[in-house]
Amino acid sequence: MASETLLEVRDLNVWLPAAAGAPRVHIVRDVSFTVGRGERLGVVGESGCGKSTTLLSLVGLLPARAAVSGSIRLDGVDLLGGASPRGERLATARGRDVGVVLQSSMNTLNPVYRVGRQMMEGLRPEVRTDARRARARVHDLLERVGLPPRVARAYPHELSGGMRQRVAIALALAPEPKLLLADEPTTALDTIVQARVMEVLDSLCADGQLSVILVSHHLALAARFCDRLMVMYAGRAVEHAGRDTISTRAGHPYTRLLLAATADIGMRKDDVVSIPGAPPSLALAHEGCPFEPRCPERFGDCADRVPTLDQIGVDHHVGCFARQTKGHLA
Amino acid sequence: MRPLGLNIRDLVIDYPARRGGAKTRAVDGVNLRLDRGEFVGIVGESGSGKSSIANAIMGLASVTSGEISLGDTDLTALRGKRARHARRALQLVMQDPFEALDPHLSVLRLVEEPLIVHKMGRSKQERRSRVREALEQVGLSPAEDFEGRRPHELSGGQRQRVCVAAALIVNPDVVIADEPVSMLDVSVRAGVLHMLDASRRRGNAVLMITHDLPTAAAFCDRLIVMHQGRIVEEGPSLRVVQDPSHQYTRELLDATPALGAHSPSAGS
Ligand SMILES: Nc1ncnc2c1ncn2[C@@H]1O[C@H](COP(=O)(O)OP(=O)(O)O)[C@@H](O)[C@H]1O
Ligand SMILES: Nc1ncnc2c1ncn2[C@@H]1O[C@H](COP(=O)(O)OP(=O)(O)O)[C@@H](O)[C@H]1O
Ligand SMILES: [Mg+2]
Ligand SMILES: [Mg+2]
Repeated sequence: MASETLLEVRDLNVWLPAAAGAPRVHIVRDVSFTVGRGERLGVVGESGCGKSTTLLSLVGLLPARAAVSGSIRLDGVDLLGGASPRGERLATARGRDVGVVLQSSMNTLNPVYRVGRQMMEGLRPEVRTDARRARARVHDLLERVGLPPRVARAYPHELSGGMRQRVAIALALAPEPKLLLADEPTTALDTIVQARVMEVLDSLCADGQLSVILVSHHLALAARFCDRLMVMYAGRAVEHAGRDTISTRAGHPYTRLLLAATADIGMRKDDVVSIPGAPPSLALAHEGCPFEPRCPERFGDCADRVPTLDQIGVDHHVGCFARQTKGHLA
Repeated sequence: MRPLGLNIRDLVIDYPARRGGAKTRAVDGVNLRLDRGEFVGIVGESGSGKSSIANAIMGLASVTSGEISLGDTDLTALRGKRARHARRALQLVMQDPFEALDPHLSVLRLVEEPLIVHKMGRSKQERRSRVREALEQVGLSPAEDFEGRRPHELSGGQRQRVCVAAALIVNPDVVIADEPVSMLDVSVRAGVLHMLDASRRRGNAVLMITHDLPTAAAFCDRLIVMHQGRIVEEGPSLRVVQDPSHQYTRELLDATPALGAHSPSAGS
């Protein structure tokens, strides 16, 4: 898909504040990616790999005293601008051009206001001030997430978790953003409700106008929904590729193990593996490839240097010495 | 092999009405048999009554009608000390390994606790060696490296292994696991499930509740599909996922993200 670039992130680095007195922790490390207009990018990896931090840094939702470097350009406009790390431009972009849905969104609707009223507050001012237009727009948004108009009159507690999460998506869409950031939007939901919510997201993208970044630890779910995937490990992007490339020709040993750990219908138990060990603590310094201690393909170089992302195929980048060496031999 | 493990007959569980509403019938006439050496899965969407069954077996939810027996003993008829004694043969592994463990206690104390509660293990020395054995069994090896740690010094997967070790250490006949891997990364799920499978191979019965159909199908001998408090389908795991007979099972399968099958509408 050679679409026009909507979001371009270059050399993103994020440091989060640690306990008082301790140095800041380098969480996101040299991450670069782009999202085309209408494109869906999945960000996958185990918990603790920096997926949420990456996503939240795009809209200035990091804790105070976080530090961000690199560049984040939305439609050509630099949102970081070098100056304040949690700059106003990030906050302005959020809400207007970028909508956000989190795993917890369904639990953070205001319990004392009806759904419709909360949605109206999110509308663009010119729509909000015209009561009839505003009501019509709320019903339209509810319809887009597959909910009947009567939901506007309901209080959050009267709705199921899946319905509340769809309301949260509708809320994020109210100002008509170009980009939707979704951080584990269905992780708290069961399989059937999850499928319905993902169908809603799918239908929202159908006209090719909305771009989505989906953060998920569920590789199969992300591969089903997204066009491209970025696999993160220990704060770094270790593989970028189209979803079919990932599911059939993954290059990084980590990606391959994640695939092997994902049970598919009809698999036998001996085919479902786990990845021994755990991702490293980002607070501890380490040299070399962060995956090296767990990697079945490690060799000499791996413990000494961090591999950079190399292109090994069409739109396919991998940060792994084993792959790069083999690539040269091939 | 003792012939009979757990037997549930015509189980009904109602929860009292809240705020003027109607009472909730969470479980509506469920029959279920779990033999020793079997690994059985209950799948179904949330609200279908899965946890209510687990809680009733453990004596944590009251039974409206029906019978839950372990061997020849009807658990629903027992009260107090006798009920606790009978339930020693049952252990529960819960969904949330972060909530389940007292953050102040060391791994050694956490895994030793059930032995103390059930007055098993004569000396501190004996208990300690059983804890080590249990930790090794669940892959927290070498045990010496883990027994002094507190829960916050463990990853989610390691915590759930501690929970499994604490359940297995009393050598229960039946292990009930309510969504034991739902909160865990896929990378560590198989590890925990292989532990439960190993305990099954030693002759325990395992009843696992989950909404993850592929994993359940891979690990369980039999699958029970629940919908709105009832069992709608039951059979050998592979048969259920490859040739489902109930419409709801098909819906559950269709809703399951698979690496092989992409939704046609997702652009490419
Ligand atoms: N305030 C903080 N100080 C130090 N480390 C943090 C802080 N917040 C999160 N982390 C660490 O940052 C890492 C990345 O977290 P996160 O972005 O939430 O990962 P993911 O979304 O992939 O699970 C984790 O290891 C987490 O422990
Ligand atoms: N303690 C309780 N009090 C009242 N209703 C309950 C209670 N526990 C569960 N329920 C209700 O019983 C039904 C079944 O719940 P549960 O057994 O937890 O299902 P599952 O584990 O399949 O999600 C649901 O409608 C739920 O709201
Ligand atoms: Mg996260
Ligand atoms: Mg439950």
